[in-house]
Amino acid sequence: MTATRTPALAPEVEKVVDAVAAMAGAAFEVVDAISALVQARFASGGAPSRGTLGGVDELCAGYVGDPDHPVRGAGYVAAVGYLADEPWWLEWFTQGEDGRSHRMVCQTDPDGVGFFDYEFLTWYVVPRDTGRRHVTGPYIDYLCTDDYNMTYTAPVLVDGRFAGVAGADIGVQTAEKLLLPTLRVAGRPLAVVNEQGRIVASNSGRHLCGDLVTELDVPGAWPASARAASGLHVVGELPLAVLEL
Amino acid sequence: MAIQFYGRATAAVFAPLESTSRSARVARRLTDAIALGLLPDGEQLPGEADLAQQFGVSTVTIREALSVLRGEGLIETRRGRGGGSFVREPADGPAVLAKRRLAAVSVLELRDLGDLYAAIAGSAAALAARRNDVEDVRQLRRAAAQLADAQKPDARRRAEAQFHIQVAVAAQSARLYHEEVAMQAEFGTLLWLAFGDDDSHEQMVTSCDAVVDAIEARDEGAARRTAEQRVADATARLIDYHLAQEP
Repeated sequence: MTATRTPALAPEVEKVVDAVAAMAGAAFEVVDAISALVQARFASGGAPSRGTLGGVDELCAGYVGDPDHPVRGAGYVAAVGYLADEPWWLEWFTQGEDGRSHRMVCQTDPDGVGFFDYEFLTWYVVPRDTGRRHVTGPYIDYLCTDDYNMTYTAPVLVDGRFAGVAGADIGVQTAEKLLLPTLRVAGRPLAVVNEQGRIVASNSGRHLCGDLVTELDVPGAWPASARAASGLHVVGELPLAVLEL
Repeated sequence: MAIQFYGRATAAVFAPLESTSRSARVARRLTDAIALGLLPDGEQLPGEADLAQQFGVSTVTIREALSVLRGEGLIETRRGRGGGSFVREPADGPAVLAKRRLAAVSVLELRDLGDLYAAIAGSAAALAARRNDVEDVRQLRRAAAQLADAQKPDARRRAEAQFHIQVAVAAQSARLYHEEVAMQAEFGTLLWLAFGDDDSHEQMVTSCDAVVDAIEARDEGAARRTAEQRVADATARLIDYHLAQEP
């Protein structure tokens, strides 16, 4: 992934833009690999089912269980009603306390207690409705990791039909570790924000992770036509940007 | 033996780490889950080694906790192939567990729990008023609508729990979220003895709507006040219920 660069972009700001692009790149590399594998499995014909998903576990474990890789959760989430044997299904793997990859077990029976109703969640809805990749968060992931999280997802299309999403999680703490080195040395107040204006990381104690920036109406300034002179540098096609405070 | 005086500030450093034993707390956690219906009748508990890992305690502690539950008839342990520990819901429903616990607590303890819960719920609502985005408000409205539509006490309890989790989620605070969940297990089980009927349900729906309105308006003060008031009202209702029971 390449970052959008305007000629006027100061080098210290560009470094932060690059750090964001590198972080997203690491996550989407995993997402794309999962997506390709799932597509290949479904393309082999027959009614798609849980059994068709062989190999997703090993693929995910390679990233999730690697302590040097920022992704700590990854998998495929089926479009509701897509799999013949399970109307709702998450083939998802997360890093356990032991640092290894574990299958996430969740309630996929709509009548069961604690049913994981993902049909209304941003990381599923946006790729389904826009056909594009999305970054959700920072958000409290109370359904899965129980922690502060960012989820990178992309639609999986099979024969032009939406078959679900492939996704990867990077924890907000890990994002801070990846972004803070360039923010620290920037020499001016900067914040990495999402398209809602929610702060992912910043180099100011007055602009905290999870807060919404008040200096700029970020959703209003997001379209390319409105960006000039706002100090908002959108990273590639991502819903992430570096904001000069 | 002399009691060392460390002064106000340092006293907290040397306070006991836990007031109840680990096995008692594991037993309490599992009892709450059964009382909440999260562990339904007949459900098989994970093995001792798995439970020990999940709770972060030794298998000896797990064995002690399970023996407490067995003594209370809440689990049944079968040996051999296909064996393990299985949940046994009390014959007169899981609510009896909460009633048993309520009978053993004082009004002061209930007030104290209510004070803490109000602090958590109030702070979560105030932060949610500051940090919410469009999506948060949408999820909160959705949760409030599910609560309003819920008919049976059990569905109402679950919808209400979900609503308060959404508030903590909108607050963007992992710690407040965990505190909210812990309070729901510890205090929510008791609160629900006094809730679930139509009258209390209507009051609950109104107060939840007021919290969402304040959050959407980004009015931190109003969000905190309405959330604190909701907990204060609920606590008062529970204490009235408690006082009306036969001693």
